[in-house]
Amino acid sequence: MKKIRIFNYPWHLAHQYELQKFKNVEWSWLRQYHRKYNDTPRGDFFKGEWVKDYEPGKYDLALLHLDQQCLEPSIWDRGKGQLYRELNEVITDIPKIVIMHGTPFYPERFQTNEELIDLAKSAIGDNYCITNSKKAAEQWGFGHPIWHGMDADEWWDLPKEPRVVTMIGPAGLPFYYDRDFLRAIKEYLMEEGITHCHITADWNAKNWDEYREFLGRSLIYVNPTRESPMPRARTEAMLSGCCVLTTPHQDADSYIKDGKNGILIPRNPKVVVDIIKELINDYKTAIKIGQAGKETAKKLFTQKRFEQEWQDLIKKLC
Amino acid sequence: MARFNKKIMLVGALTFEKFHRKPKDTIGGSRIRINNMVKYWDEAEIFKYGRQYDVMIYQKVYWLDHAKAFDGIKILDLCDPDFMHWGYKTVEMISNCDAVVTSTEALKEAIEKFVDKPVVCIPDRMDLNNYPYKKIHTKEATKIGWFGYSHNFHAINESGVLKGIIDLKKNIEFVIISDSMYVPLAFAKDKIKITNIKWAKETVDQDIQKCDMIVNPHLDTSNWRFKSNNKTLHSWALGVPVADTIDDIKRFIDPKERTKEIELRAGELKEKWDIQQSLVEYKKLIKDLNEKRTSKN
Repeated sequence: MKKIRIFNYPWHLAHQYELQKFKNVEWSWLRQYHRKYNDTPRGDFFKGEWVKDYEPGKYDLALLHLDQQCLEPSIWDRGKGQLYRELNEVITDIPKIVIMHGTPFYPERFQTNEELIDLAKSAIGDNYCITNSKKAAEQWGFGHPIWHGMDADEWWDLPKEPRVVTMIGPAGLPFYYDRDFLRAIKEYLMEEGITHCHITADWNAKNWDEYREFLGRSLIYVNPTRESPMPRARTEAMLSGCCVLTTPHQDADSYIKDGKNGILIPRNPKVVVDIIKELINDYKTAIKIGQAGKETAKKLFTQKRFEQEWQDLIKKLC
Repeated sequence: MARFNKKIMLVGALTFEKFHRKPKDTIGGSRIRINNMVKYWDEAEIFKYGRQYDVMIYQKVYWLDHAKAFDGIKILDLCDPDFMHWGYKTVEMISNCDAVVTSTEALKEAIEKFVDKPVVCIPDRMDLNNYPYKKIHTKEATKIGWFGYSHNFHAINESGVLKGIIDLKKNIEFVIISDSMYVPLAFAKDKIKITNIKWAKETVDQDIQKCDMIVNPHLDTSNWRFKSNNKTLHSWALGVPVADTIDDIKRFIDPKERTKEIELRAGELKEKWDIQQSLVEYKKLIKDLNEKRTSKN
């Protein structure tokens, strides 16, 4: 089978870790100063070649990255949007796939979603676009959804501490991640004497192993996000056997069967806290739900399915 | 591979402001040394991701990863003594470059002491096309200005310039154009009108032209010796004389003296401080470096 040469640059390293597992692909990564490569999220997984510029004729395909923040004028001009803007201009001889990592929801900067959608359409132009959830593709009005995939064996299902955790970035995009909701859950839990751990804010893993160990020993995982398209950390928690409580948005309600393989939560922190209290008191049920969630994730979020969907797309474009 | 020996070489200039995600033309060094020059240089552009360059100019940019990977001609352009701060990898960056360009002779001499690469001084010069209007001086001076970064306010206090202006007893307004508010020392309280104006690239030129003269006090201490005269040149180009001493201030109270000074400086600007000269010097440096590489190969 012919090797495909793909031009790419560091962006979402956990996502790119999975991409780099693809067979028959040679990767080239652009050196740049906006998004850094480091070995914290997935160890030193880098394969391929670092390049300082784009050499026409050398590649079959380019992967470019966008999210809603990129479209904010100052970020488009000189932030991470600049990376997309300049490379999209320079690369003209091969097909380009844009991975749209976000959703059209950025009320802090854009009064209407339509404004954001128009900007995204104009930025993407004729490039092929991938979204991370079906809902995101529907909201943008363009894009082909590919759910993420992972190797289940890479996640550690360990004896569970009765702890409650969430893994989202420490700051930024408050409405998108619904940080107010998370904060309220934390505060109400605290009133009940339960200390919730916001991974990245309350505690930071030194490396991937430490993260997997911590997650794998956590009984309850809470996902508060409102518009994040298919947060990977939720799937990581499922594969680690955590009992996942999640908001229903961005496709989650299509595979979480409430009370069976996870729990769908309303945006009501008091209700969430009551559920958590019940689960801590009923450890066996929490474990059972966690195990069912793990089975679901093992079926739906496989590396094999993820690669196949990408390979089909690559075949179509190259 | 860089394409040596060819007639046209594409030059990518990565400026401090671009590297640090600042809006265009908001950092003096980037604007004066690179942005203004690149406009007149067909083979050069501000660095763009993905583009294949033959020459890189890193304007106060310490992007070691890139410099190590880039096999074309590399020049580190410096306008500050960054090496005096522990956080900069000046020697390492220079060791990955072919040459260093400095904005002053003092900086050149300092750097030459610790590197074995060619160090060339290409001073700050002005894009004279940026100054279509010169101030016309008709009345006795009433406003004296100072402009610059607020971290240089201490020069106003330590040089005694403010006391000198107060001692003239001429009811002069002292205008500060800066990123932050200047609060004078206690002795000046109620003795002089101080007006603070926020520096903005769109308005700074008009704000300077509202002044009758500019003071640009230099200190002998600290890193002052490395500073270029770009504020003086900028004021001259706007038609506003620069007083270096109290005697200058006294002299420039008279509009005829200011007009005379500006006419004199207009000639000096064309002769010595035109950005076109920097362009010639930069091109010559690149040509020399290219020849050096070619002869090595």
